[in-house]
Amino acid sequence: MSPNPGSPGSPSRRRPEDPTDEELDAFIRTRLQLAGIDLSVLPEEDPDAPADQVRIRASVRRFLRGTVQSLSRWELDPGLWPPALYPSRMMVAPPGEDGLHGDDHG
Amino acid sequence: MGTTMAEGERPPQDAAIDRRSFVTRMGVITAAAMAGVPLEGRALPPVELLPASGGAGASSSSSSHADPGRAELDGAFPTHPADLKIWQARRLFARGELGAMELLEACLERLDARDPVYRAFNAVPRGQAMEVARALDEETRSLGPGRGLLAGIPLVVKDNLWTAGVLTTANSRIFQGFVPAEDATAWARLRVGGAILLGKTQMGPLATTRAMTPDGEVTTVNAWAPDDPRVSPGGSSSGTATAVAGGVAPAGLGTQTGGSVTVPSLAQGLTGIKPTLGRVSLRGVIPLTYSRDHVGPMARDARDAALLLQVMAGADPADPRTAGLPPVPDYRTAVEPVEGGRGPIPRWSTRLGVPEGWVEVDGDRGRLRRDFLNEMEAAGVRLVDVHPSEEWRELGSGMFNAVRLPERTEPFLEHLRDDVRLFGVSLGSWIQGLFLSGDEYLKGQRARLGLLRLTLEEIFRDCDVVLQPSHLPFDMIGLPLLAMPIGMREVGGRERPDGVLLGGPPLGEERLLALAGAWQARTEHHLARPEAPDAELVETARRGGAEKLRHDVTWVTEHAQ
Repeated sequence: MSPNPGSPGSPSRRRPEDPTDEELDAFIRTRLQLAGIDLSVLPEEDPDAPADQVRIRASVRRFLRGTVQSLSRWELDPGLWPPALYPSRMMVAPPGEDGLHGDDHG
Repeated sequence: MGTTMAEGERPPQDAAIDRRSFVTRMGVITAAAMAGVPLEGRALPPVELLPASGGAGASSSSSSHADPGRAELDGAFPTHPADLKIWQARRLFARGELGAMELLEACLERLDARDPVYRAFNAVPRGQAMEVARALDEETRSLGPGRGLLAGIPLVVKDNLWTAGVLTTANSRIFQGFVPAEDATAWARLRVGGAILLGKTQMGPLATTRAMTPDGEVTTVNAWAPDDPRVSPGGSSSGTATAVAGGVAPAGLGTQTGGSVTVPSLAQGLTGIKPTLGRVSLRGVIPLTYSRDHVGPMARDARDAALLLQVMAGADPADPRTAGLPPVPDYRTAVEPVEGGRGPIPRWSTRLGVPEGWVEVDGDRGRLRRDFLNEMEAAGVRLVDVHPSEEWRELGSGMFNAVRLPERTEPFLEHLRDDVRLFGVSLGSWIQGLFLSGDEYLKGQRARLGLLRLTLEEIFRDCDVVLQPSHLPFDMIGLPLLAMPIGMREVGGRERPDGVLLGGPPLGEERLLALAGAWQARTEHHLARPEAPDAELVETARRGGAEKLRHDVTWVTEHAQ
């Protein structure tokens, strides 16, 4: 049940380097822009304010590095959750060879 | 499931249902939440009764209830009406020794005297309350007492439940000035039962944390430490908890998504219940997390909690999560112990699961826990060691708790786009909800159902009720919890209540109430009440000079429920 870096067919998968604060901040800004949410109405940094942009980004960075990363890397135990029929990770053959996954026609 | 009972007694409801059908039902509710499908009752798989249940799913019409424990004979009733429990007030009403207006005025007098310190209220509809009390007294004079289980009982209601004609803000700028035209179903049922709305109580903004303003100024204090705002009053239903513990209201309503009924109950010596998901309607409750929100009673003892649950519970066409459950059983009978030869015992034989490490704690807490287990054994309860697997512990951890966040964010996106400042110090967890990807959310939902299945297979295979160190796993999977006091312990140089958290299987409210009722009939810990705030403190608070405490968005995000 623990995070399992391996998966069928890719025993030597490389884990990318952890993102820097700057990279995460860029991700956070972009995600909020895409969702149409404007953090700039908050002060950039004001310890006396209930909330500011610096503290919001710091909290999201902690969330991404902790909870989200752990959840993302955690794998369902097939003993407890029998694999559903659709996940492509259950494929043992490359796309196309079994005649089922070759064309992505949606 | 190992249940034995007195001759003629029906089994408790949890022993009569097919638990697999509850897992299926939870799966459908979860899927509907993900897909945004408006569930209709007929689309929800019913929780099925086992073939040999002897009708245990049905309501009992029993209305014969034993006298309370030795500590609460009639002569021991509190002298100030605001200190009465509901059942005590009802007895006095029946004898013509107390009227609805008299009780209401006593509560309002307490509110005026103590709330400058407690800061437990958001709105007090005085005129409306007095009008209802006056009408009830007139009705009693002409027709006699006895209409409605809660006739003339003033109650407090957390400010995220709609109350017709009364401000409902959830302590948030988003709902500033919102006056609903209708009652939340849970409150509507209590009101129809005769309850009077004493006031709307303070809460964490949008139910995220302990009560505070949207700017982070702590409002409600713990009634056991009214001079120190650093002592937490519990979770977001802390306004209700302080009003009830602090002698202002006999009982009230809270909501729980992450401990907000049970944590403040434990912090302030009350008995609180988070029922099984779907047992009490959520119609008219400002949402926090669709698939995890619950309404529950917070009371001065288990008997009052049972009474409130009895009135609130049941199917509601406006909340499809309530459909397909067996009829509401008789909680008022379940909570009454039976005579067991050596004192009161629960009416059903019960195996109480004790998780590894639960009792092996130092100091007062360890002593209180050992005393509790000894007394339960003396009451005929069988103690069973419970060893949750690593998988169970992992699935019940904070990582999976985070899966609730997108459900929080999605209904409020419009407000996030309008102006994030509307969220004040609660903004953090609404923003975090945007940062779980779809695959992580799906995985988390599957993990949640896995946790439910493991809980039924591993935990409730060997016991009927289980002690819980944390509310978290049962909050995630919609199973019932009951919190109650077991004694006092010293914390930071002052005496504070300590308690236990009991977890039950699906629809296990009767089991929980039976244990709590027996415990409270055998002991007096639930009778402990804090002293009134001293006059100097009240005067300082009236002048606005009480100690101030603020929390910011970082603190609130880390403590978000």
